[in-house]
Amino acid sequence: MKSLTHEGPGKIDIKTIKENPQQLWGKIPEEIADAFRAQGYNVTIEQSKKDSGKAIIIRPDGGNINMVQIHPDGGRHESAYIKISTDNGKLKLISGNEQSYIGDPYGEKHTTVFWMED
Amino acid sequence: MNSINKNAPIIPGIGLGNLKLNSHISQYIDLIKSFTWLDSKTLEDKSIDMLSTFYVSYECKDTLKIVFDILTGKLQRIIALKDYEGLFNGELYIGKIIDTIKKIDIVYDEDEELYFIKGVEGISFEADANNQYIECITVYSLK
Repeated sequence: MKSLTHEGPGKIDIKTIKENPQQLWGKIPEEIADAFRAQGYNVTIEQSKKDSGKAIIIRPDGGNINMVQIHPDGGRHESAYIKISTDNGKLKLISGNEQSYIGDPYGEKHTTVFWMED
Repeated sequence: MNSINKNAPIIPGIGLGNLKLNSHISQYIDLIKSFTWLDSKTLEDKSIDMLSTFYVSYECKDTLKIVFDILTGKLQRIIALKDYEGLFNGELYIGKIIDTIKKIDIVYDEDEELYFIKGVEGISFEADANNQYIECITVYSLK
C-alpha cells in the first residue's frame, strides 16, 4: 500500500493523467484541489451526501475536467478508485487489478480504465 | 428515546425508519449506544464509521445507517440496508431487481453511480456492484 504524500500532483489535465495516472494516485483531496487552483480554477471539495459511501468530490470551476471523485476502498466495488469526469468521457483509476474489482470495470460508457497495481 | 421501525415508509428528504432528517444528535444518544457491535478479533466497535473529516456514521447492523454532520449536529442522511423492509412509494425496496421497476421513472446517473427518480429530490438508490438490484436506499437532507 502506498502512503500519502504531501507533494502536489503538478499540472492536471486529461493528457497528463492519461500519460501518468500515478500523478493523482495517493494525493489527498486538498492537494488535487490546490493543483487545479494553481491552474486558475476555483475549486470546491465536498463529501458525497447522496449515497452510502465515503467518496470525496472535487469540482474545478472551468476547464474540461468537471469532477474528480475519490472513492476509498470498502465500497460496493471493494477496490479504491478515482474517477475523473471530463467533457469527453471518464477516466477511472482503480486500485489492484480486474480480479480484485467487484463488478464490471468496463461497464460504463466512454470510460477508460487504468489499473493501479501495487 | 427514538426507536427504529424497519417497516416504516421511505420518504425523500424527510426520513425513514421512524427517524427524521435534520434532527439533532442529542436526540439519539441512547439509540446510538444501542447500535454497538464489536469485531470479534479487534474488539473495535463496528457501528461507528468516520466518513470524512466532518461526517460520522452510526450503523444499526444491517438495518440502517445514520450520518451526522459534526459541525451542526444534524442528521444529514439515513441509509436503508439489507434488512430494512420499508417501501418507497409502495414499490421500491431493498433487493428490488432494477429491471423489474415499471411504475416509477428511475434514471441512472453515471457520474454519481446512483439511480434517481425524475422530479424527486432527497432520495437515491444504490445498486449492487453488478447493477442488478437495489442494495441500499439513501434519503438525504435538502437543507
